[in-house]
Amino acid sequence: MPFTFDSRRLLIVSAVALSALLAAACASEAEEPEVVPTETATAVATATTESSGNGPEDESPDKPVEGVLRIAQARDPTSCDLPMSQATSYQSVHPCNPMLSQIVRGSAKDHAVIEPDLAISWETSDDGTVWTLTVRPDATWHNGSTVTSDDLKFSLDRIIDTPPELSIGRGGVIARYVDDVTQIDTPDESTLIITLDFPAASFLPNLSSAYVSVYPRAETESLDPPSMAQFSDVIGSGPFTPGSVTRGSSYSLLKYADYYEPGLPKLNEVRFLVMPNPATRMAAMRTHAIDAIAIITEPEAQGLEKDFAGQINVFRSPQAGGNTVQLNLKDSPFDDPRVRKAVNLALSRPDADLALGPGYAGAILPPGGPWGLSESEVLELPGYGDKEAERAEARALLEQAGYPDGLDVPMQTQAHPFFETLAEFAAGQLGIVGIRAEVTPVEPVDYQRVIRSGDFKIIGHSHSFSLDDPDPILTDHYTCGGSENFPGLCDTELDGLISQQSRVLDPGERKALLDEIQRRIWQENAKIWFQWSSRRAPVWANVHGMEPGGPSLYQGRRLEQVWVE
Amino acid sequence: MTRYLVRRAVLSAITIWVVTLIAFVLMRVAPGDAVLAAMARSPGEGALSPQQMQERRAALGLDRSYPVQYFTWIADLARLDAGKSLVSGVPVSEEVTPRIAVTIELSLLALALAGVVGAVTGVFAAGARGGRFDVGASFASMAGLSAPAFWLGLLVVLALAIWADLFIAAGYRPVWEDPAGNLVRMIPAAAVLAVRPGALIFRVVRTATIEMLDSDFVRTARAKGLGEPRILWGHAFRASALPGLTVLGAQTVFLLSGSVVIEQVFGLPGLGRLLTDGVLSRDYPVVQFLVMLFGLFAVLANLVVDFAYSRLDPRVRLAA
Repeated sequence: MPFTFDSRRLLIVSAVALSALLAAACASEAEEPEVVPTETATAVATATTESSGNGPEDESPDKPVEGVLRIAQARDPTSCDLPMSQATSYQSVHPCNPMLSQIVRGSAKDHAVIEPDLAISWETSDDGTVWTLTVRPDATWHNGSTVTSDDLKFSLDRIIDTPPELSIGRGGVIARYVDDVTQIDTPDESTLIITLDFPAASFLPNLSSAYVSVYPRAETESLDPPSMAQFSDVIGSGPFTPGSVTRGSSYSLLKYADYYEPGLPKLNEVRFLVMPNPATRMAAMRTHAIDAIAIITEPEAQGLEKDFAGQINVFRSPQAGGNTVQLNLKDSPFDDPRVRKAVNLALSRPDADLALGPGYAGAILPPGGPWGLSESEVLELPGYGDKEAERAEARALLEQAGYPDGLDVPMQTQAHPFFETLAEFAAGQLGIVGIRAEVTPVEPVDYQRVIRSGDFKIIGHSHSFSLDDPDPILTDHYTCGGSENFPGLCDTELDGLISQQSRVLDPGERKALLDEIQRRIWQENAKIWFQWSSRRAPVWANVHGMEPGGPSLYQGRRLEQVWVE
Repeated sequence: MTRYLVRRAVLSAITIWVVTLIAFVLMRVAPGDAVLAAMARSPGEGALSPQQMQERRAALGLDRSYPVQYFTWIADLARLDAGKSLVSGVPVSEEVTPRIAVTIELSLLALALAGVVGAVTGVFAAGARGGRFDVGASFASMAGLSAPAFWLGLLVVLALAIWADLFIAAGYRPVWEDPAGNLVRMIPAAAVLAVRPGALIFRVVRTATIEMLDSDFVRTARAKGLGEPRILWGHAFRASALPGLTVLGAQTVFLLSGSVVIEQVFGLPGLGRLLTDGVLSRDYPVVQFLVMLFGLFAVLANLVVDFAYSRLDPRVRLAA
């Protein structure tokens, strides 16, 4: 191939190479964090999906498109048995989800909208505890056999009563509503009846999670262990079937001609390419060796916007996750509510946007979704007020708590460039009011031990959620003994409210209760959110139908509507 | 000879056993385990409760004492069963087999490039001592020793992508499926990997050859009227090849470890990446097996170098 030389290309090469050198010098070259740097220029941004370039047309062609979509990600999928694996991140969901179906699903265009999938209709009893779902008759597994209600029951049963050789993952939320497999019944091949323990407002949203995918009973049980963990083993009923696999390199998905949605999928093939090195991924994006990356950092996004305006759409959307400092409530000095409040008041949200990249103002549940506090309500919360006045109040609180000269405290965070940056930012902010925090990065696995054993005073930490739903978020993060409740917050009255909201079927009434819960949790100053992230996702302009459909990085990833010019 | 081979085999076996023991201990000393590592990879929600974590550890056999875990692993190895990955559940042999060809191909290509290019340029530079070629090659070798491999690799990936419209850091193809597609990806990666050992070999061979060119037997050869190329290649190079070979042997281990970085940059699904991922996810069976494998490679490489010594220099006796 001919080699040509021009100064622009040389500049691009030099810039990327220099960036890579700097990045490597400043950071370990691990894969992307699950939670990514945030963005937005102002303190409070609107929670909408934005594109920096010309947005892709929604109008799809009338006839099928002979297209191949190439997506880069940092790691191999760990397991395609999405409910039954502990180590599944979005990098397992994205390649595996297009092969699978769910009982119901969140719309790709708006994750909060629940659409029929294998269940084409459903109704509930008057008391809200019995759900009767009708299974579509035209769905087939990739081996040609028909999807029946028994397959749906099987897929739920293994979540509720997990086989001993498997481990439940994020799909386990469903087991909070259904105690026993006997509560799921299949009177015939097209009817599924689920009896809940209580009228659960979040049952359907959690049923729509990508982690509650459906697997065929016979084919799954024939495996040892009974799990379609391997990409090539998957027999699903989704729009794509497994194609060729080179572990550590590429995963190909091929169009399933008998998919039950007529005319879909539009693509012939989707190829997931594994590129562990972030600079390599960006080089692939810049040279159009790939069409899309699920998530990139703000500096990378800005680079693409500058160099490829009009050619690459770099979407910006709210992310169901963000940045926190978390205080150990069981240990001094943060067992004192005054010191905790001082921490919250010290943190400037606008400064976080400047230092970490633009983000969104929020409280306890993700902003921009159906349950988070509105922007005006958020701005009324302590921590979002006039910063000088709040910092003066913080100093006064510290004095009252017996720390007139401030205090020294170790702050731990995960050894990862992104975590370290957010922790350093938070430490700098706390220093302004006299809380002198020394940041110590901890190796990622050891960090898990630290945060889960409460062996810390204060941590700088990021979270992301697969589903914007109050039940998993509040239960895991804020109830006594919750699996992600690292500060050790334990308020039985609050637990009661969280349990109560789960049972309120009227959305308006539930929202009001959730608002109260969020304000109450905010006042505890245990897990202090100082920034909710936004997600940057680059897609070449010739790819259509890949706009982010909501704050979750996990939902709406079946790619059946995507096409390539 | 037989006695020598038996002695080397016994020593190699002991070395490998010590390597397995060190790998086992180091992995257990590292904080956390596969259960915690899984949660580190999937943060946000739905983590296991402490009781579930204990159950998971029991299911993976991590609740047993360290000696029991070690001897169980060794006993399984003796039955040619390397266990299953704690992350994917796939047998370790299935994880390793498709990747071993990648790393071996990459290392052998790099070894060949480093050896041939390093030695040939070293001899030429020595023959043209002080000339433009010698100065240029010496400067290039210093640059090669200084340049970080990942940075050089990234430059190569970008340069090929931008100037030749060829993106090589994705879509690896096995050599038996697509030889041309495979070599297009492997040769640039091997070339980058070969830079450092090649530069070292160049410097050693150049220095040794210059010494030989000043020695009495070369002077005698010149006095007998032999041509300069024959003196250079037939006499001086042969004598200077031994130190080059020593470096080449030592660099074999470097190439294996260096492949960890190069595989990341060039998107090659080799053992290096598997090892990195295994360490980060505390995948004990995978890491232990790979460390043992790398130890085996190192032992074999040293054995080959010893044999090559005896072939090149009859004064070296293996039994000695």
